Amino acid sequence: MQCTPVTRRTLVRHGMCIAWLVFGWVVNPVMAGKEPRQVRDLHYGEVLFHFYQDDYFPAITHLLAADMQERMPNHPIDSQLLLGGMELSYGMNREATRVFHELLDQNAEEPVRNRIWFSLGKIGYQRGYLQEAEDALKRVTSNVSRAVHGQQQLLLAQVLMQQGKYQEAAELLREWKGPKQFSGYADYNLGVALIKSGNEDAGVARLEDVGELKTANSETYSLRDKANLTLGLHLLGADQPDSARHYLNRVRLSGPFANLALLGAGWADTETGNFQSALVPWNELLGRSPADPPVQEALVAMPYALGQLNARADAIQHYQRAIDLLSEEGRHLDQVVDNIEQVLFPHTLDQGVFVEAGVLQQALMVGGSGTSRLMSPDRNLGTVPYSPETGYLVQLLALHEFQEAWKNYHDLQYLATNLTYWNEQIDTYDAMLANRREAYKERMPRVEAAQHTLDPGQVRDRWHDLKARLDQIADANDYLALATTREGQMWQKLKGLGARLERLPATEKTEQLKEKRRLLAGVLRWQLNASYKERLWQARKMLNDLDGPLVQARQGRAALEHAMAGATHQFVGYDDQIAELRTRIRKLQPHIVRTLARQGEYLRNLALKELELRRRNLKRYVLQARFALAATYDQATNARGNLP
Amino acid sequence: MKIVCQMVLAFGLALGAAATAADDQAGKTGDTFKGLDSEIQDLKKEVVELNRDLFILEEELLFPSSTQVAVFLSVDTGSYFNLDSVQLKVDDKVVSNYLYTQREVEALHRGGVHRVYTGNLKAGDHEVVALFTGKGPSGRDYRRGANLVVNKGLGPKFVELKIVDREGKEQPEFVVKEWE
Repeated sequence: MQCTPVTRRTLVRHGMCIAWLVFGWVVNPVMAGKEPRQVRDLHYGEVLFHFYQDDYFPAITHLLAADMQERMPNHPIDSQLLLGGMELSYGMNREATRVFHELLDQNAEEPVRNRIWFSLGKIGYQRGYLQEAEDALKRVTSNVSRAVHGQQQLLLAQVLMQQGKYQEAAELLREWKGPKQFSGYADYNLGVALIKSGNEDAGVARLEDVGELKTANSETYSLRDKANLTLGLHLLGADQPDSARHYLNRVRLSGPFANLALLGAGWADTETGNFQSALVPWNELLGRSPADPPVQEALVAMPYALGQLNARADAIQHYQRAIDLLSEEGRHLDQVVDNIEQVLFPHTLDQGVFVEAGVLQQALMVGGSGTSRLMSPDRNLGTVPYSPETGYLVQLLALHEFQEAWKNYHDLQYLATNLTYWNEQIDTYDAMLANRREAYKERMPRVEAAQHTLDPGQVRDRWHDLKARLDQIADANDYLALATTREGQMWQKLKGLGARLERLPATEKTEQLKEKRRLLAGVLRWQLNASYKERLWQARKMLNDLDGPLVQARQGRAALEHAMAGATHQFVGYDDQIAELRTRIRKLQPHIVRTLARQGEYLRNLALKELELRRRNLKRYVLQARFALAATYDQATNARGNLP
Repeated sequence: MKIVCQMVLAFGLALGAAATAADDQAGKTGDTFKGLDSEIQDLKKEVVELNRDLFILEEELLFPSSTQVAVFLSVDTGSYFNLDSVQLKVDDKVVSNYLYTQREVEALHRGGVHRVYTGNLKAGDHEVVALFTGKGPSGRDYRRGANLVVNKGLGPKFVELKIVDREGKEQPEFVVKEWE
């Protein structure tokens, strides 16, 4: 007894579907933008610091702010390229496209144009504009690094294949040159493209090569498994069950493709009528999680094969077991659906335990397009956490649309938090400005008073007067001018005495006094004259020493005037700005809350639709198993009735 | 057998259907992926621009250009030094202690520049002292300092702490540089 062609085709179609869709995940879209670069503006480097940690939101914000403040004069092109790339990664495709086209309009140089066309190709692919993506990617010249060229060719081949242009994709991939670590994927894609374009033998040979890759790393093991699975399922569909079994046997028992390969191996055996052999892989599947569709199918396929072997008692037992397990699984699924319907999803995704990398990879490889990994590796499934629901939603989680929708949901949550922060923060700015106004009112009168009493201009004028006076003294050798106050008083006293003695009658006593006064005046004059140079030097030195403090006083005065002028700038003109920003915040907040709710509803409906499909299939499995069980009972009864 | 085949068919459909599930939602919720995505792109643009304006406002309010001083840290190659942390002092006062994660160190090695400190200083001379801690050339604990007297004028002052490789001596070098 054989499985009908429809069955095989379904299985094969599923397998090939995996094959078509998964190949792209090797490409790292930002690789080209992550080489170390010379930083000539600190603020550009600051943007890179966030960018290299995949913190796109702060990176974009810093870049836009630095751009507006004209703090990146040495990176006019780089900064815009970076902005476009980050916007692309942050799901702002429209803005990214605008930035890239603006750069193209500026007649950028060839290397820059290449990077832009490559990015536009990725955007086109991501948004489903395949012809635009193809056109853009074809405009990338060969004047790029080997790594970028390899990625560009892989992406272009993917775009071509999605448009059904397998022949062109195959020709492109035949000439593929790129980094060695991608060569397995290029070969794999080439094998698929060849088969789809009708070059069966060459395609099979190419996939066979990939399936025999020597490797020690898990990524290449997975690729190898995928090639063998694809080949096995393809040959099963081409009525070559023996060959199919050969390749399916090569798939590791523990990899992400193991369950499907085991299921296919069993079907390959039944194709050759070897039901006994089919029991081996299917029995292996029965020990695995019944949440996985291949296991569910094996639960029913197993008793079917037993029935073909006339082992009706065992078949009945296995049908019963299948009914029990699948019914239990159905109840579990009902519970998950209830959880989701009670608006716990996608909230539960946030609260769950994060999926380990291996599980995510499995999700991508088993059912996914892999496009998110291709287009935005930094916002990929690594951000989708594990919850009880996710076990049932592996296929859904791997879908590009779901991943993008999930990222948008997550981004909206971040935006909501961000606006809540600013909404609180902006009120503190009002308080800060009020405090500054108060402080200004209080301090300004004191500062102004101090300003009037301490005028460095007047002091400077006095300094110049003193200097001129000293110069006059020096020119006239006016030693008397440098007398101390006491000496000056003594000099005036002696001068006064001389005048009074002149008015007295000329007596001997008078003459003696006159002589004494002359002697004292001579001594004083001599003293003043002797110390004149030293006094002049001292006076000049003192004057010169005042020069520094005077300069400082003038600078201080300038700083004070600057501060006085700037003091009002600390609070004047901000009120309108703050009010305008507050309005923008409060206008956006409810909009984001509404969109978040709609996005959550959208995700929930996606999940429910997927689960409903699974539930329906489970019910169908159970129903079919019940019919088969009844039929087997009938057969057993009839067989007993026919006994002599 | 026929029954099993139908099951297999159903199984195939179950897996294949997920690929179209997203597109089919339009009729049920009224929201399509593209429609919502377009709105979300608009929102992201608005919020990003709002953040830019708020960021600039905050800087003007908290760190006016007349008093603003910002200190950045960069790593040039960094083969001889694996940075753990940096302590920053301005005029003998500790203004920042920063412990780097591995992710941040990698970002620095790729050309990223980290803003260690933003503050306010009055015009005049100020001493900036940075103390770097990490692993040296032989993987041993390494602690070095670098200092510079910077003159704060009327405009904002930007200072860069650079960790560079001194190839000849096979040692790291720590430099404090003023930007105009």
